[in-house]
Amino acid sequence: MVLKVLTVKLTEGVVQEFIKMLKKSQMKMLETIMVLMIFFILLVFGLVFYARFSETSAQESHREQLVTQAMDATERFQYSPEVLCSRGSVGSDTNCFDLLKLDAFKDVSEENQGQYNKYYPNNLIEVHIIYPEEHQRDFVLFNNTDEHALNEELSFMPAVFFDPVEDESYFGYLRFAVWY
Amino acid sequence: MKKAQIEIVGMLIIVLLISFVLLFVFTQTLSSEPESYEQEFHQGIARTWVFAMLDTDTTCAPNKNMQDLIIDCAIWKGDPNEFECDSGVTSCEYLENNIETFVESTIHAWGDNPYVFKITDPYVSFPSEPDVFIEKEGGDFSRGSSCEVFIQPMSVGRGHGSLRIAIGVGGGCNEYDIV
Repeated sequence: MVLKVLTVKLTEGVVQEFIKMLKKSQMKMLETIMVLMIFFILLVFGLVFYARFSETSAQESHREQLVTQAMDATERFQYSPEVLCSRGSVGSDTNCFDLLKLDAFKDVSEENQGQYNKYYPNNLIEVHIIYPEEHQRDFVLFNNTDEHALNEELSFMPAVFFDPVEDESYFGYLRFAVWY
Repeated sequence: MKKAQIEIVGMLIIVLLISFVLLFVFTQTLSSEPESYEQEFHQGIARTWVFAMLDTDTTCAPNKNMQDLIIDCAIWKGDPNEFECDSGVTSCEYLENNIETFVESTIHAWGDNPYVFKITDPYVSFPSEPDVFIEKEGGDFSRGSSCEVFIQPMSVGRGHGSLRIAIGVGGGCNEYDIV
């Protein structure tokens, strides 16, 4: 009887000790799991943030590149001798374009598209005359765009358009679009 | 290593990881430069806009361009000698009515750029405030804080001093005196 009681008590003690041990190891495991979870959450956050940042900066740098391309086209056009005014003055013809030369440029650039495409890649160049009102006129000067392109980046240039027939200078601007 | 020390090392690793993430976020946020190409664009258009505007022939009278009208307005504003256009308005009135078309249909129209335009005689009452002949501004000045200014000095003629034609493009232009 005594032996039986002793055996039961011993068994109970061992079981309790075992349960205690189990609880302790469970706690430890839980702690480890929590630490690992926090670590992975941080890692995931870091990766998501980095991926988004990389994507945004890549898009931004692509956009910047296209705007620069549009500005380069603007600058190139600004110094094209085939379209600049020649009113006999020296140095005062900055941003002045001869309307007759522009009309000729339109035809020549259409006939020699390949030649001009390398200077104005994916460019659409438009002329807008806005002042005086009676001479308002908009036209496409050069078109080298892909028909599948969906977006454009722009650059503008205020300019004077000289009409040698009327001997008058009109105010307007050139619109340079890079399509992609 | 004791258990407590191991736990502290674990904590340190977590703190370090968080610090690295925060450091990365802050450096990327702070190092994002202002859009230099936009500033370059504003600088370019401000300059070319002034030259193109000055060179434009007006409907005021034959052979009168904007530069002629600006000079006439500066010399004779309010005087009976002030040039009268074919339509009967004076040179200053003509400028006042038409300058806005020039800016609104170009600089302002391209991406809603805010602008300030002024024609002043800075020496008329120096060192007090300059005499302002024409002043126009438009756009939403809460857009950006930069201001790219182009100032073109212009001689009015012997005995009449000089003018300043100034245009500022950008959201910060209403906060400082561009002339």
